This record gives sequence, C-alpha cells and structure tokens, in this order.
Amino acid sequence: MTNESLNTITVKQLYRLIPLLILPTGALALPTMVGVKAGNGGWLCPWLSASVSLVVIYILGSLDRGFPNQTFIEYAIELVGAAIGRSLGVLYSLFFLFSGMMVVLETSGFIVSTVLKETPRLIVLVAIYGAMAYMLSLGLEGIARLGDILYMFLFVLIVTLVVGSTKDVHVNALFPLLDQGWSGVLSGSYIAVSWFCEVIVAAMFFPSVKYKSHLRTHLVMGVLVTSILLSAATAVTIGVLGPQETARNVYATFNVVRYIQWGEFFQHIDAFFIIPWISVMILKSMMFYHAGVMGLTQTCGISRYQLLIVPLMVLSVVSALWLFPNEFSISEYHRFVFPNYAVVLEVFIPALLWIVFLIKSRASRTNR
Amino acid sequence: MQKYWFVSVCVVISSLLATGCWNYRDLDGEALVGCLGYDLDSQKPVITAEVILPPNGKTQESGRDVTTPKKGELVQGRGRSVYEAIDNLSEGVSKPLQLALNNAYVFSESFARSNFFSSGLDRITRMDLARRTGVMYVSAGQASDILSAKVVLADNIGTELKGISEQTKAEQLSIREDLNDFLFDVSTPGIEPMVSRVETQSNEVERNALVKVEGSGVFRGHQLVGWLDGPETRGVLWLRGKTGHPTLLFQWKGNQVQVRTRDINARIVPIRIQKEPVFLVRIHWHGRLIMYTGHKPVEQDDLPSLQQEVGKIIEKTVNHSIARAQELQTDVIGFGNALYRKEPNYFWTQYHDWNTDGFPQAKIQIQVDASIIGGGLASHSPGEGVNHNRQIRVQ
Amino acid sequence: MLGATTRGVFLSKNVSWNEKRIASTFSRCDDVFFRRFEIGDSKQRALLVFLTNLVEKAIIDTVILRSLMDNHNKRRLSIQQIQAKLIPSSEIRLLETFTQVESAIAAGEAVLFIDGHPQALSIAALKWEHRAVEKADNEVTVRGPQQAFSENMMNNIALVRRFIFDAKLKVEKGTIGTVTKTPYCLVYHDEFIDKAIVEEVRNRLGRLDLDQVLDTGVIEQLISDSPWSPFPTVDYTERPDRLVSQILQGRVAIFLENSPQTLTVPALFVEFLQVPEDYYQGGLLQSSIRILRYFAFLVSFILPSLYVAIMGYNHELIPNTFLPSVLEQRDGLPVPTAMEVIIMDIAFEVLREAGLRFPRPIGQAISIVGALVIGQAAVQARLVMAATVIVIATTGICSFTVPGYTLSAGARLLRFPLLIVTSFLGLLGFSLGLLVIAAHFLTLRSFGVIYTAGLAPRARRDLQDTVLRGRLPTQSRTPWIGRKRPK
Repeated sequence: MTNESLNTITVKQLYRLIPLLILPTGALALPTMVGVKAGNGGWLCPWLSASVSLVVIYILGSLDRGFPNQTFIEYAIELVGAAIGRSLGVLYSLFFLFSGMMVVLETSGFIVSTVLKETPRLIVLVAIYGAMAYMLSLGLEGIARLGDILYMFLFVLIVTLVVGSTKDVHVNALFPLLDQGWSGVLSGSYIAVSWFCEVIVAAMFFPSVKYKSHLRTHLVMGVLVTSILLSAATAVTIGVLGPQETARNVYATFNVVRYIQWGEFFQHIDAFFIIPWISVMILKSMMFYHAGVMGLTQTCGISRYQLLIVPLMVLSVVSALWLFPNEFSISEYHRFVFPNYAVVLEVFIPALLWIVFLIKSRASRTNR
Repeated sequence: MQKYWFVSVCVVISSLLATGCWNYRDLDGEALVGCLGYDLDSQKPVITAEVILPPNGKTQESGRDVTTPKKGELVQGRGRSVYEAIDNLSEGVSKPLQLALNNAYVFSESFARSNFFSSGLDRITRMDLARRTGVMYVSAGQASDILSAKVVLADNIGTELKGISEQTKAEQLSIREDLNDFLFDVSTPGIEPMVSRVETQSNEVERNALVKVEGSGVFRGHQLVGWLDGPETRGVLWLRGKTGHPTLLFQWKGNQVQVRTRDINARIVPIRIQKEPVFLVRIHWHGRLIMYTGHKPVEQDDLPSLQQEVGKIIEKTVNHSIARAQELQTDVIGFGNALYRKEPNYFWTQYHDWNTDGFPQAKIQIQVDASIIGGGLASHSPGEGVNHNRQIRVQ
Repeated sequence: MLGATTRGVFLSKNVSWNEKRIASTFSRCDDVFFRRFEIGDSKQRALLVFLTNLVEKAIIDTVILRSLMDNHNKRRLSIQQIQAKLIPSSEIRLLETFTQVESAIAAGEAVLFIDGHPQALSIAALKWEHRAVEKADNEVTVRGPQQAFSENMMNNIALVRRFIFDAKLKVEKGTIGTVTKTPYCLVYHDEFIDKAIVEEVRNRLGRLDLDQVLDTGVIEQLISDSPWSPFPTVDYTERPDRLVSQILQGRVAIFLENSPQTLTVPALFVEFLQVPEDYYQGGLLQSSIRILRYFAFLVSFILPSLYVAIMGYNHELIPNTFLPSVLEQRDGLPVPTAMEVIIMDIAFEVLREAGLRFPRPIGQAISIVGALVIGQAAVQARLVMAATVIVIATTGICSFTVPGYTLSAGARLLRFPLLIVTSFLGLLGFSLGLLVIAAHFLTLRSFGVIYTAGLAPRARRDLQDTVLRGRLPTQSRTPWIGRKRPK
C-alpha cells in the first residue's frame, strides 16, 4: 500500500460497487414499476433481470481477458476501427454522463418532494453538483473507498427495512403467486434489466483493478447480493402496502420506512434512511460521471481529466433544469425511454463487440 | 487567476445557498396538528384540526403562569373541497400547519358516506403529509364533538385516540385500523375495510363529554355502508385472524363462568368454489378461567363441557357477524380474498362485484376448537372449601 | 604560510592569531573564556576556548587542564598524539576550519588549540540544566510506564534505547535551521521500516529552508502531506513506551532538541484513537472502550448538525415521546435553533480556550462559573433550549474522549462547516457535508501510505487491532506492509 499509484482498486472493492450501482435508484423505483406491471410477483423481477446481467458479465469478463489493461472504449476502438470505435466512445460517454445526470435528477426529485419541499430545484442541484465536483477530482480511489463504507450502510439499511417491517407484512398479499401471470413479471423484468446491466459502468473500471483474480466471480457475487436485497425490499414493500398501493405510490419503499414503528421509541426512522440514501445515490451518479469523463478523455485524447470536471458540472445543472422542467417528464423518461435504449447500449453492443472479438481471435489463430 | 478559481467557486456556491433557507422552520414556528376531524356541513367539507400546544407549567423553573394548563386548541376550516378546507385551516392561525405528526383521523358518518371521503384520503397520501401510522375513526355524530371531548390521560385528543385504539386490540370490541391497513384493504380484492367507531358519552361528574370507542363502521370501497356493534366487530376480528384477549361470559351448570382468551386463531378455507361458494372456518381458542361462582373446583372431567360452551359462544358470535356482513352486502371478513387467493382468474371473471353477487349467497361452516388451559390462582370461590376440612377432622 | 590563512577558512598554526580571530567572532559574548596555558614540561603553548555557562568545570579542570599540564614529557607532541595519548576524554574530534570551531564552541564543547598545529581538538564537556524525567501530563494512562520525554534530546533517545536493546535501532543526526542550528535525530528500526519512507523523510527535512526551529510542531506542519486538512497526518507523543511501539511498527521518529514532543511519521488515522494502555489491560474491556472511542469521535462532529437538521427541518423525525418536552422547551425562545447551536458552540470553545490559559488556582472556579452561566442560567432565562445545552455538552465531552489531541482539534474544526451547511440545507446539506468529509478523509495519504489503512481497505486481521483489541500481537509488523520479523 505504500507509494501505490492512485486509482487502483481491488476486486473486493469492485464487488462492493455493484450493489451501489444498481440498488439506489432500483430500490426506490423498482417496487413502483413492478407493482404496476407484475402485481404480486414483483419480487421475482430482480432475479430475472439478474440473469441477463450475468450474461453481460460473462461477455465483459471475456473481453477483459483479451484486453487486460484497456477500458471498454479503448478496446472498442481497437476491435472495430477508429471511426466506429470513436463514435461508440462518444456515444457511451454521453450515455454515462446523461445517466449520471438522471440519477442526480432522481435524487433531487426525491429530496424536493419529501425533505426540502420549498427549496428551488436549482439550489438542490447546485449543492449536489458542487459536492460532486470536489469528490470527482479525487479519482477512482475516492469512489472505491467511499463505496466500501457506503456498502455497509446500504446493507444495514435494507436489512433494517426488511426486519423492521416483518410485523407489518401482510403475508397474504404475496399470494397468490403470479396472479397476473408471467407476462407481468416479464415486462417488469424488462425495465429492471436496464438497471442491472449498468454493470457496464464497472467495465470502465476494469483496467484499474489490481490482481484480477476471480474478477467474474466477484461481479457475479455482487449481482447476487443485489438481487437478494432488491427482491427482499420489493417483497416487503408489496407485503406491507399491498400491490396496488405500491403501484400508486411514487416512493413506495420510503413509505414503508416511514411506517416502521416498534413501540414508542423506535419510530420515525426516516432520517436514517434519507442520509445513507442520498449518499448512495450520489455515489452512483459519481460512478457514472467518472466513467463518462474517462470515456471522453480516452476518445478525445485529453491528458488530465480534472479540467473537464467543473465545466461538466455546470453543464449538467443547466441541462437538468432545461431538459426536464417537471417531474412528469422524469418519470416518463424512466418508464418509456430509458429501458429501451439502455438495453441496446448495455447488452446488444457489448454482445456484438464480443462476437467481433471472437471472430478476430479465431482468425488470428488460424492465421498462425 | 489560477489559484483563485477554487475560492471563487466556493463563493458562488455559498452565495447561492445562503440566499435563503426556504424550508427552515423551528418547532415554535409551526402549528403541530395532532388530530384531524372531517365533517360535512350542507355538502361542504368542514375540517377541524387540533393543534398541539406545549404542555404548560410542567417545569417549575419556567417561571410561567401555571394556573390553566392548556392541552390543545381547535381550529376549523371549510371549503368546497377537502383540499380547500385544509388550506383554509391555516387562515385563523398565526403559524403554518404541520400535518406530519398527526396521530388520528376522525371522520363523521355523513362525511364517510359521501364522495368526499376518497378525496380526503387522496389529499393525505398525495402531499406526503402523513405517515400511514395515523389511526382512523368514524364518529356517530360530528367529528368536531369528538375533538373537543375531555382528554383523560394523554396530552391531547390525538394521542388519546391513538392510545385507545391500542387498548381495543385486547378487548376486541373495536378494531385498530390505521391508514395503511385501510388502504391495504381497499386495494386488495375480496376484502373491504372496517374502521373503528367512536362516540361521545356524557360525563356526569364534570359537564363535558368523554370519548367512547366501541363497534365499527363498514366500508364498501370508499363509502361507509353500515355499522357493526361491539360483539359483531369481535366476530369479524376473529375471522380476520386477529388475536386478542377478550373475555366471554356464560352460564354453566347454574354457575356464572367467565373465561379470558389467551389467543384465538382462525383460518378460512374455501371448500367449494363453483356455483355457490362454501367456506370452512377453523377457529382455535385458548384461554383461562377468570371467574367461577361454583362450590366445587373445576376438574379435568368438567373441561369438555366447559369448552363446548365456549365453542358455542364463539360460533354464535361469528355467525352473527357473518349474517350482519351479508346483510350489509359487504365482505369485511375476507372470504372473497381467500377465494381469490385460491382461484384468482375465477374470482375476476365470475363475480362482477363479490360483495353483492357472491358474498351474500356464500355458505360458511364453522369449526371451533376451544381449550381451557388453566383456572387462575384460586381453585374455587372463597369461603366454600371449609366443609371438606371439617369432615376430615371429625374422623 | 601565514599569509595564506589571513582571511582564510582553515585554522592557522599560530595560536595567537587563532585567538584573535575567535575573539572577534565571539565579540561581546562575555560568557566565552580563553584559557591560555602550557602543556607540561614541553612548553608548548595551548589555548582552551569554551562557553562558561555550557561546560562542566570538572571536566575542564581534571580531564583537560590537569592531564595536559601534568605531562612530564619534554618532547613537543603533535595534536594527533595529544588526542591519542594525553586527554582522557570520551569524545574528542579533530577540527580544521573556523566554522567548525565556532559551532563547536557554541554547542558547548571546549576547543583546544596547540601552537604550531593547524588543527584544533574539540572535547565534549557539555553540561546544562534540564528538566528531569517527569510524569506524562498530556497523555495519561492508568497503567504502564509513566515517564515522559524532556527537552534534552540525547536523554530522550536514551529513554528509547532502554526499551529496545538492539543494534538495529538506528539514530541519524542532522541539523535544522540556519540560524538556530538545532540538532535533530531520526530514529527507526531497520527491520520494520520501509526504506522509501526514511528516504522521503530525509528529503523533506533536507528541503526545509528555515531560519529557526523552536519546536517539533513547526516541523510537523512543514513536512506534512496536507497541512490544511483537519485530519493530522503526522503524530506526536511524549511517552517513550508509545513511541517505541510505533517505531516497532515501522514509523520514523523525529527528535528535536528542546522539544519534549517527538514526531512520528507516517501517521495513520487509527493511531489517534489508540492508547498504549489498550495493550496493558485486558482485551474485552479495551475492545469495548475502543469502540466507544470511535463512536465518541463520530458524535463529536456529527451531533450538533444532526440536531439542527431534525429540529430545524424535519420535525416529523422527533419521536412522539420527546415531543411534549421539546415543544415546551422551545416555546417562545428568541433565537432560531441553528443560531442557538452555533452560539453555544462558540461559547463552549471560548470556555475551553479560557480554561487552558487560566492559572491553576482559578481554573476550578472557571469551570463552575462556565457551567453555571452558560448552562443553567441561560436555560432558566429562556434564552436557549435545555436540549441544545445538552447536545453541546455531550459533543464537548465526546471530543475529550479522543486520545489524539490533533485529531479532536480537527473534528472540532469540522463541526462548524458541517453545521453551517446543515443550517442551510437540512438533511441534504448534512449528507453532502458528510460525503465530502468522508471523501477527503478516505483519500488522504501520509508519506505515501493510505491514511485509513486498517479501516478501509481492511483485512480481517486488521480489524482486530484497530477497532477492537483482539489477541495481543506477538509479532511486530508494519501494518501497511505486513512484514513480520524473519525467524
């Protein structure tokens, strides 16, 4: 650890970053969306989506074996040539940056509707982006170490949610299983796939990992932990509120946390939910921004990425306010726009790249 | 320039942040509402709120006048809709209202029967004002009468009503229904919500009203359709699977016997689904003797007949509740839900409205299994065992 | 020959000329003394120069003057022969330049010039008054050695040597400060140290361009990685047992003359929450106390902000049982809660600072007056809430629980920005502030070593020595290297 170069992380830290990538917005938004589509069976959706992300992990892992010290964008440039590769690079960077902005928008939406109701959105965004500007300049190391600690908090949080609600869960609400049939569960999973396959953001961090033993195992473990936590949280939410109420509430999990009451003293614990939740959502958006900034520097050949940070933050504040002037546009984006195009970028393009990689490696082997 | 960019960024951000704390409000800058009452006055909603005031005169060092401790103040607002009425509440108050610490909601009968009820619930849950832990009541008369009733042990009526609802869980003459339970029942197919009933009773000692909670109001969807009295509510609670500690009084071999429930569990099993549905309800009851006026101590051989008596009482209560619910054409018990869980598709396709189509024709069989565990700390009534001892001494 | 050394650097063979030169350098230093004498029967002229208040008269008299004056050898001896045979002193050095001679005299050595030789001998005769080894006042433990370092650097190093009887304990000397020329020593154990760190320490000390150094505190700020960070990256101690345990864990100790506090680099966060007593007492007790210390550290900068966030922004987070009492306290108070907390916090800090400076006899009265005035009277006059006073007092007490003073000072500093951000933005400000502090804290490095080594990243065996106190470590090791002593 002495005199290590900055910006290296260990495999265990990467494993802890996966739930932090998926859970923050997932646990807040997933119960609502699957409540609409899947009813009782909402707690099965994370498992189905996780299986798709396992495929993506396999693809990314084998691509990483072929190009050990390069990020996703760098070996994309190598595989498909400079023209297509660089445009892919720009596309992915913009995707990461935009998704990061959406996470911040969701955070600010959550804060403005529940905690700070009269504060203008501009102030909340400026505060969040100001803090992020400092934290992004600390590099991947800062993100990974923060992730170490916040992972513990997230875990404790979800376990508290599940355990604290056990006395209020109406077990009958979870039966009959699949009253709306598999179609509901499948369409719910389709939305969740785009969240679970955000594992691709972690693919931008692979070159920074020292000692890449068991990389895929750790990623798979991360996805498994996420599925367990997410499906437990969804099951508890559906059990306490009922499937229709879950679909009706915008922040269903938060309502369950507010409902937990054990005796006269252990009540009103939403502060202990809000503080880790804001931190975890900001960490998620930081990971997206970091990936996006790295992508930009690699595509455009910029040497120091610190130069990009402050202009990017200002730009994000402005675009957040201009592109999404009200809450309806944000929820519309999340329900209709994001799942569809995210799947292409997170699943199909890596799969295509993988096929190209296989063809090329087979060709080079036959040439020898 | 280079070294001042950091400072300038900090200055810009802090000046933006410091332009005002929009949400900052101290505790004494808000009027905390502890209880909300919803009334209807000539087709316009009237909302009464009880504002919690700091308990005066509790500390001696405060140096204030300790003659009249104030507990809570009532404010009223009226409007053309529930939203307007709540907004108009703050017209006469010098501080903005804080509705997030609300403990209880009291709806008057006329309000609960009207269309305003669902908009009231929507207002509560949409603006994230209230936790779902607030208990709900329907009052026989005006809700504002309840709110101005005398508070016996608690600080204000809201806390009092919340405490009373906890108490009803033991005696089971009324139901504890909080906002979450209500919304859950409303949105679950095959079961309808039931809300505790509250009324005022006059207090002869002092010239004000006390609060009495007994029975419940039956809702079909978002509308009140009828009342159940205490024993009927108890039957419904048993059928819903809620356990409590009610006491049952009956006659047995010329003696008055009272037993106290330790727990009671019921399971509803649909036996026949096609055509007219038939349900089987299995009830298990455990309890203790708490009063017995007989000469002889109760022995093992007496237990079966005692338990049979208890079973008869339970069955009678339950049958009465089911008959009443069928009369009101509202399934508050959950038979529809049991049917739905077994055959969801049949439930949706066969019954347009289970409450009116299927439930009144449903047949329910009751099986009760009562067991008396113990008889308390005394074996028989006092003063009755002397004769036995005298017989032994003569010999 | 004579002409070449008129304005020269090197000593001259002529004793009188040397004497004139030295007298002019030390002009108006009336505590310097020139003792002219002859060496025994050989009639060689000799000159002894020394500072009267720094030398021990007994050494001058018996070791130098008597042994030279009693010499019955008629031959003229060279200076090397005098050094080898005549002077029974344990430390003698040969000097050749005037700068060396001047520093030697100023450092309390007696310099001997012999006529006809262009060298001088400096003989150690130093004796100065210094504080005896006393009890450690600032780092108090119940159990264990109670000695503390004093201002004499060599005595301090002697105290350390008494713990480690090993040649691998290295002592490297140097000087700092172009005017004061204060000597310093680097002390480390060869087996556990990382050579790169020693090199880095030497570089940083060598790069210092200072006139004066009065205390190790100055060096601490100048060689520290992030002097403006509230978290200290250089530790100091005045207890030899603590220092020895740190040396055996791969730290480099920096001793400075006239400074009883010794620096250790690199410093990790967990060190500031550890006390040597942890290892002298039982594991179960000390583990609980350690956890308590971590908790107290967190409380000492989080509690006021959390209080303001709940009381000012989110009233629904107050449990129902607290509500009547808090409502009653708050009713009718003049100042918003956030301002109250800030004012009381500042008052507490003023009280703390005043308590430091007050002369001993009045110190007790100050604490009573402070508690009465600020606590009781302000609450009774309905100026502040009783809960605020409790929160501030708890915060203060928790900050005293932290053993490392610099760390608790850092936490004290952190409290205020966090409080201000929370006053503006409620729970959002609180979370953001904590995040920024955590991000800064987690990426700090001390001489290249990760500051939070042992906590994050953590290995299982680390936790039992940082947050808990598990089995006593039988093998010394450097925590970030994990190197154990080879068998």
